[in-house]
Amino acid sequence: MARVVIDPITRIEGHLRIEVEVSRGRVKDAWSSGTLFRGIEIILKGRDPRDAWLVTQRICGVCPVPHGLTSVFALEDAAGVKPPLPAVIVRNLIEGTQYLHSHILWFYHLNGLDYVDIVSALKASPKEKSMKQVKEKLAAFVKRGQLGPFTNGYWGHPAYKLPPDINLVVVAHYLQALEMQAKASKLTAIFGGKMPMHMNTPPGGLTKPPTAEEIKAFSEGLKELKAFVNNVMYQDLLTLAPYYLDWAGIGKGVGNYLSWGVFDSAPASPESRFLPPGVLLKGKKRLEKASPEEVKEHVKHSFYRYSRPLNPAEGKTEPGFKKHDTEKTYSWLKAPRYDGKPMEVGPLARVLIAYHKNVKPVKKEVDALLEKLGHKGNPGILQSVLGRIAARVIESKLIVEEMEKWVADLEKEMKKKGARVYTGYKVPKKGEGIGLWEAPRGALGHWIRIKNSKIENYQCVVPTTWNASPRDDKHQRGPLEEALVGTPVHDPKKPLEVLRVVHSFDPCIACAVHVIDPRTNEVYRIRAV
Amino acid sequence: MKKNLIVGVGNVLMGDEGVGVYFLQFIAPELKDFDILPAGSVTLSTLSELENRDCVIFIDALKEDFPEETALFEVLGENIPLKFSAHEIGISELVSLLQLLDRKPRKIFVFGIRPFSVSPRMGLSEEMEKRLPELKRKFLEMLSAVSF
Repeated sequence: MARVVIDPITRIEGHLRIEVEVSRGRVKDAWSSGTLFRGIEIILKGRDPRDAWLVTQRICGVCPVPHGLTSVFALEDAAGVKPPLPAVIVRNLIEGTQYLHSHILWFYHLNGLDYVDIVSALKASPKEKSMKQVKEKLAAFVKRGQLGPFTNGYWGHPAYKLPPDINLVVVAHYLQALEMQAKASKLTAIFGGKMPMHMNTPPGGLTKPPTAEEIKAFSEGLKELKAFVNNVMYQDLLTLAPYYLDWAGIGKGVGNYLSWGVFDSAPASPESRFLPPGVLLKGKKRLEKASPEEVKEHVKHSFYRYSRPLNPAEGKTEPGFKKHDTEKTYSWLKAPRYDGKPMEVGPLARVLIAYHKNVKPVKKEVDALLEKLGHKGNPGILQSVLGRIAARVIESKLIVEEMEKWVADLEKEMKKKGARVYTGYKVPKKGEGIGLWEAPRGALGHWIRIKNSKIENYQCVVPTTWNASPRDDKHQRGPLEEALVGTPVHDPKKPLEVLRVVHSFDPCIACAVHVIDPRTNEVYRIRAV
Repeated sequence: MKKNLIVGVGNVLMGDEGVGVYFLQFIAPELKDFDILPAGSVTLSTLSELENRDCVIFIDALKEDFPEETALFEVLGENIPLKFSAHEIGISELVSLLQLLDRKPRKIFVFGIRPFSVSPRMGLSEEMEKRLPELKRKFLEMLSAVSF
């Protein structure tokens, strides 16, 4: 039996350590550890509640938008204020750009190289001029020693299945996608003022109404992204999937799914969200209502000083580092559980929940894809590594389509006489609020408690805390840990298959661990230079 | 869009670590010939702001034990190996990617400022606040001396 430790996992956001036990060519057991501390909750205590949405965006420069919005919803909930419809639409559009940015980046740059062999791409013999140029560019880059994004690959591994010419085509799209993800961010900035960390969506609505020029510029940029998502990214999925269909049977995980719902169609009406909230439990056909009261964060195997599982409304951020020991405590991540169960969150959870709720465009896309992959009427194959990849692509396609409609709606709303984008409110002296939303990576919740008009307590439960959580009080594995069990490993020294399972969850640890150690004041500094 | 860009880098929740952003806001009125971007974190999103510029200057915090109070570097961008996580993207990684895309600005500089105190707080340390006018003088002097 071999123990394999991958630390840090690259091509993810932040620091994650994965330890797996391999026996007879398969993963027998797995442990996921968050090894980075962060102190957002501590920083927020005692502050003006109106600062929270600006501070929480700084949890992470990669997906600040959903943190900002979720925090806004939490205060709006506490203050009992609803933003006017144009503000709801602009928030959807900003969130949508964040999804497109995140999914494109993940598909090509964070996950793609687990399936595309760069070294093999250099062996391609392209006929088209543009492909020849890509090959030359890639060869020059490799020759200069700037292997860069490509250094961490296990090139030549037998789990790479694509022929050289297809590898080269996807590399060409990898480069194109670098520009596309940047374009998506530029769109965030059109309404948002800037990106990362947009600044126009305070509690109550927007700081300024969108202008006709902004709407036009946004709409034009969106067309370009839509063309890329439909003609390049979706086609690449269709090209790649047949070579990797065995991954539809790997990495299922816990089989429980949670979504808080995302993209509002009317002010504060979660049930009517485009991707609806819900809970789908293993072995049950019926979708259940998602209630924040059912969430409890366990800390038995995490580095905290208390031991009782707590609902985030009563949550604490009291760190207490102990020795890293997979039998006892081994992560800075808490272990959130829903009604005591580990839940997978993310694009797959959202797509499956929408599918079960018969959301028409979602059902249509999923069924069409299943048919193309030769699995008509069998959505069960999506509960896998391949399913997580497909869900991200399908979601991009669906969202870009909806966004076009929202832009048209916004134009109409802003032409109405007396169109408003802000509703005034007072910060309550005392109160509680919950913001529930979906980051591209999955379910995101912010819990705020206000006393004397200041923040008394603030807790964030973020997607990767759900997915990459350690074991809980009942010793149940977290979703990522569970998904790793049974994964085939050809060579424990080159655990490419393990990376595929890990990357399928798109872990983002920057916000998942949110503690600093107050005794040593030790903070990881991720520096720009 | 102006052809030259100045970018402020650093975490504004970590005191002087965020000096790049705070300092850029302080000197902004003097920078009429430049586009300015108080970016905070350098991420892949920053790529679109950098491509096709003539000259880009980053302002960032130096290491706390750096021997000088300020320093100016030119980023040459040759043979920069890069890791790949959207979080671990730094200035050198961005430059390398811009090269791969044939979109690298002609000149890239980093103006570094040594922090006094790096700890979880919003705003600069008092010591740093006091130094701002002098740092501004140094920065503007550098701007006029450097040949783009």
